[in-house]
Amino acid sequence: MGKTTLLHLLGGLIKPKTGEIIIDGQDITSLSSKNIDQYRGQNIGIVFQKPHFIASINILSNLLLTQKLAGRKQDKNEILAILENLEIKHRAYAKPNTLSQGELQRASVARAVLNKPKVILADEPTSALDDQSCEQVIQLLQKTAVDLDAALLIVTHDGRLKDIVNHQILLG
Amino acid sequence: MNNLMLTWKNLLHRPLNLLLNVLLFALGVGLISLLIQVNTQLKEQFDRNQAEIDMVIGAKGSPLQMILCNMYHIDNPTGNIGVGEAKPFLNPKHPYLKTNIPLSLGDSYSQFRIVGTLPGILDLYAASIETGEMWKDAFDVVIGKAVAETAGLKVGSEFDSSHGFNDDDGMTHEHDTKFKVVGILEATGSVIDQLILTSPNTIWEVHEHDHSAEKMDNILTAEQLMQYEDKEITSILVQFKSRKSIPALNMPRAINSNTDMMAASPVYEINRLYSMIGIGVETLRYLALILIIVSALSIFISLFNSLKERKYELAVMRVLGSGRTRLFSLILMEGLLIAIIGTILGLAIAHIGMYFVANGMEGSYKYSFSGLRFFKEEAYLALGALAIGILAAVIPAIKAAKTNIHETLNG
Repeated sequence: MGKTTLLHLLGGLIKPKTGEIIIDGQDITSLSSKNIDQYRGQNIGIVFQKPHFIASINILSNLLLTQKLAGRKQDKNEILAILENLEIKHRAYAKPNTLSQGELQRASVARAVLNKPKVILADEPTSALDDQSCEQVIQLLQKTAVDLDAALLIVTHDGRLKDIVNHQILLG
Repeated sequence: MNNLMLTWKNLLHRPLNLLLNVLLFALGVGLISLLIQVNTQLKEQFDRNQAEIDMVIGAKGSPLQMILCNMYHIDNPTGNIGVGEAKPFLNPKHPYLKTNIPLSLGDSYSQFRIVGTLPGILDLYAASIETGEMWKDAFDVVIGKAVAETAGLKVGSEFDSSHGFNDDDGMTHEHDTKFKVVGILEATGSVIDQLILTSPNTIWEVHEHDHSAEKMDNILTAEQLMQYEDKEITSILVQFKSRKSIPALNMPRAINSNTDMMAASPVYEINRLYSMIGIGVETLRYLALILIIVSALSIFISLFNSLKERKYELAVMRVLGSGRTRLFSLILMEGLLIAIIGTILGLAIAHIGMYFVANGMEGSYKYSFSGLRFFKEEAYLALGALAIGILAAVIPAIKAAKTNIHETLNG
């Protein structure tokens, strides 16, 4: 119980009533609401259970916007390289509603890692995926986390992940 | 991907909503723009043609008709008055009158009116001869610029007049003597551009059907005119020496009650006309306002509804680092963008429409209108329209800014 709430706390989406959350030496609970939005954009990548994208613009534009909102330079080549890694480069110019669930989830992994965050939080990233996509997405998350030297935290009740992830905390 | 681009893509994502909102907005703005254009240009024309004329004297009938006929040349005469009776008001030595110009109407050439008058009419409309010279003999005419251009007349051209003001073949006068153009006036922008000027006796001679009358000298001064007491003219255009003097103020009433003639004040009659037209204009203005209010409501409703579909998008944008102010301005810009497109489209439609209407009006009112002129009021209209666009988006924008990430994504 409270898995998503915990994840939202860690991502700075809600503030705890008491206590503090420290990421890389920074107490995020002490940041103002404007600063926490900025901090999150730059340092925390989040993958949600359902991949939500802005429906009116294509995947590439969605990712360009991700860079902009984090206050970074918009770099099309960087995005295309990541999409190639995730094997969805051919979908870069497609609107979100034309992608399959698996493709969308990979795109949202791309979005989560795009700004080279210190922490990657994933909320039930695999629960809507078939076995093949599930494995692919998890491997991608792990590989990028290693590449970026970022902490990866996955919240899930998906039994398929039990044997893949080494540190596990069970919430009752 | 900048904010403006995103706003535009978001609008395009719902093309039918966009179309409806922009069209509604454009209709409201366009209707108001059209009203401004017609109203302003009509007023300008009336003002320019008023030529500071204080009083018109003519035959009894409708005073408004007399003003429209003799000053604006868009209605028929109320009748004629005898020179004998009008004599005191034709006298250039009249103690209270600064200017008194007689007019004799009744004939036309290719729908342009032929006016029997005295050379002083040029001063009244601040007109001067561009080519040629003033009329000296009977059947010499000086024509306005528009007449010269439209009817293709030059100095030296000759023509037959037709009876009445319509160009009717059956009504053409057959005369031994033809009218001869001796001068062309500079363009003034006033009604004199549309007139064919000649001496009063020319008009009389055209209508003398026994043709036996002995030839009279050409009339060029008021003193000469005053000798023909049994002849008739249509009206006298009068300027007072002092508008506020008691005798001047009492003169119209005195004429109306003591003579068989009628006197009317152009300012009074034209204001009466405005107030009559005004009801129609006012109704149209309310209609346009209702259109704009409905379109504001339509913008509000479609933005508000789109927020329901877009709540996840907005939450995700916040997750990605977008502050509340950005979400607020994003939605506000959607309202503003609709208003901008609607306003530009509305103004364009109204001016293109006016451009075509202007051609038609020039024919029937003998006045030139233009669709290419923009008025100060339209700038206010545009500013007001943009403000309404923003206003319609404020509540949806506040709602967007209040997006709660945790609740939305946890739902």
